[in-house]
Amino acid sequence: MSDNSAVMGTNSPIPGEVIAPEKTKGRAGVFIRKFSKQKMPLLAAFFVILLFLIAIFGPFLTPYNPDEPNYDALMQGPSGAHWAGTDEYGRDILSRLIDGTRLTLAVSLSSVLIAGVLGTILGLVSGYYGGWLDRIIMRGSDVLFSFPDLLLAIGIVAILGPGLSNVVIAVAVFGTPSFARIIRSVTLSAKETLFVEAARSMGAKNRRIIWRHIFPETVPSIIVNLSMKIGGAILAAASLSFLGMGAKPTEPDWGAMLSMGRDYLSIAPHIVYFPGLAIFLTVLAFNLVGDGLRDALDPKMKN
Amino acid sequence: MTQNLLEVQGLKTEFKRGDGSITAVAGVDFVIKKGEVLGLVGESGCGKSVTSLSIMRLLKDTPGRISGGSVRFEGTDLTKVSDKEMRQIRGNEMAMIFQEPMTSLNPVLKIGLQLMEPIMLHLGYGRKKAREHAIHMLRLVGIPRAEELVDEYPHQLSGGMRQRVMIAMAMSCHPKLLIADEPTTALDVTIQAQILDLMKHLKEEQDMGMLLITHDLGVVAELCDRVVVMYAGRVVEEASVHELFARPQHPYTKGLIQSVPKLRQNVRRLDSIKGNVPDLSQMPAGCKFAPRCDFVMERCLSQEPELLPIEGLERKSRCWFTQQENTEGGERL
Repeated sequence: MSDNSAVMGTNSPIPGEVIAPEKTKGRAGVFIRKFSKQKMPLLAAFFVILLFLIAIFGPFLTPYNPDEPNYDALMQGPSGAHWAGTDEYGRDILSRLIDGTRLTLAVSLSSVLIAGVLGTILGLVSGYYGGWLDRIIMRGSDVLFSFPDLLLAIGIVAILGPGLSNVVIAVAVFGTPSFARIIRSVTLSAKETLFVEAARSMGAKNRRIIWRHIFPETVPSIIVNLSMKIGGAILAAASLSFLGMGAKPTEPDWGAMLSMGRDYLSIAPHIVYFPGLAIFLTVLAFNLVGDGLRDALDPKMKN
Repeated sequence: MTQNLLEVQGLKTEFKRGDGSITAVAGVDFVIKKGEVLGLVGESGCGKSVTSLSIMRLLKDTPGRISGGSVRFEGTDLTKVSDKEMRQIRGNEMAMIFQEPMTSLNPVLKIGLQLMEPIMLHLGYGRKKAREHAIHMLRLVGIPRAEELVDEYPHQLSGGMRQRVMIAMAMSCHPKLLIADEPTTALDVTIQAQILDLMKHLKEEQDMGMLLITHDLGVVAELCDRVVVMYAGRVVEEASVHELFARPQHPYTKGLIQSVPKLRQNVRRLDSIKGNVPDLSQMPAGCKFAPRCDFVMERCLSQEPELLPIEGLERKSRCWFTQQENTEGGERL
């Protein structure tokens, strides 16, 4: 069958049947086409891009200095001057949200990236070599899995002490096992493929086989899992800050803003609404992008 | 120095299953001389592929393990060398072609890169030289526009072309022994003939030994010098290719040859050997072929025959019946 199609492809008199080299180069093109067919993930992707732009150009966008108190405008509701109102020190909430975007993205991205790198390495090693190494890594991750996520993070921060960098470590630690498991399962199926056996029959070293033949197979899973995990990491970091274990109250972290605003919930609910909305939308956007990536990268899901 | 390239003696391979183990290869002996093509024939499940994987020591990722015997390659026992030494032999002195050309190339790597890897590894060439060598090898296996093909991906090639690429890869370091595990099974008939011609041609040009694993007797007749017939993990007959087709000794070989449909013969039903290869965990006590044999005697059911040379002939057979016939001077099968 494939013999047939390839012969047809190179010699076919029908112009549409020719396998053009341009077409085969366009793996990225196919991906973009598949991704952009999905409306919600596309919208979410634009929102994520917007967030990144805000994070980069934040200082130029803030209408007020996010750290400067204004005692003439305490806990004002949304108005023309302060779109998202002011907090208990009279600081402009919109400016603080914009400034906090950078913090939120930095914390969640770096923790997820650390978890991704560690988890990928552990998963590849565990899946490829198997044996006692596999057993140790997988039992270790089972131990981490048995803790409720947030409880584990609180425990780690309690040991390391509060602070954003420790939040990053904590979130990375509890994100690693699920990465390791996913990559391990992909590795297990990839190492059974004939081209891995063929590479081995040509005398290739294990490390080279992992890097050259197995790692590329895991890349789609890594991308999807990264984007799915970012949402969770934002929530976890915000939760830790809310509990006072992450960002200092003076820092414009969304979770810390929620925590501060909690005390004034009955008289000035807008102080928690806007940070809460920002967290909600950001997490939703990352999760939708993750879903879209999964569908676009999965070759089994045509259309 | 012996003239033997590969000597397999009493090779036993076992697979762990549950708490016990089953023997897939139970004491296989054969020899491949320099520049000789040995055919390894038998039904599915008789241990042909496991034998070849044992020789290459590629059983690591399976529950299988070599439990006895030796594999001597140019005098060195491959069952005893370290993993590192084995890696240097694999692909360099000994190479392998697999059954499925469609899946034995990595779909996400360019063909050139995959060809260059063993060349750079074993011959120590730099990138540029390795690329040239890869192109040279592709031309050698009869691939047109080799310069362009090195920058293409496997899915752009047909099955026959991919098998040529696999052959080019296997041959790129001039191995002394090529193990071909059903190299033409997955290809259609016209391409099969081309690939066989190519292998024959390359074998003569490079003067290498070859172990050809197949269940296709036509391929054997085309390419092999000598044939080893395997059944249930054992060698049941060994003979030169002419002898084997002219006068098969073992009833199993006879059955195999008879089950090939012949041109010019008008038959209603194709001959076949009745029954199946016995389950490896429930082997009959005597001759493993006895339950399916037309010539079964009482002795066959209780005692397993040995692989013995047949008097006056350069061949061996594992059968009570043939041995009896020969000693009594009776007519051969």
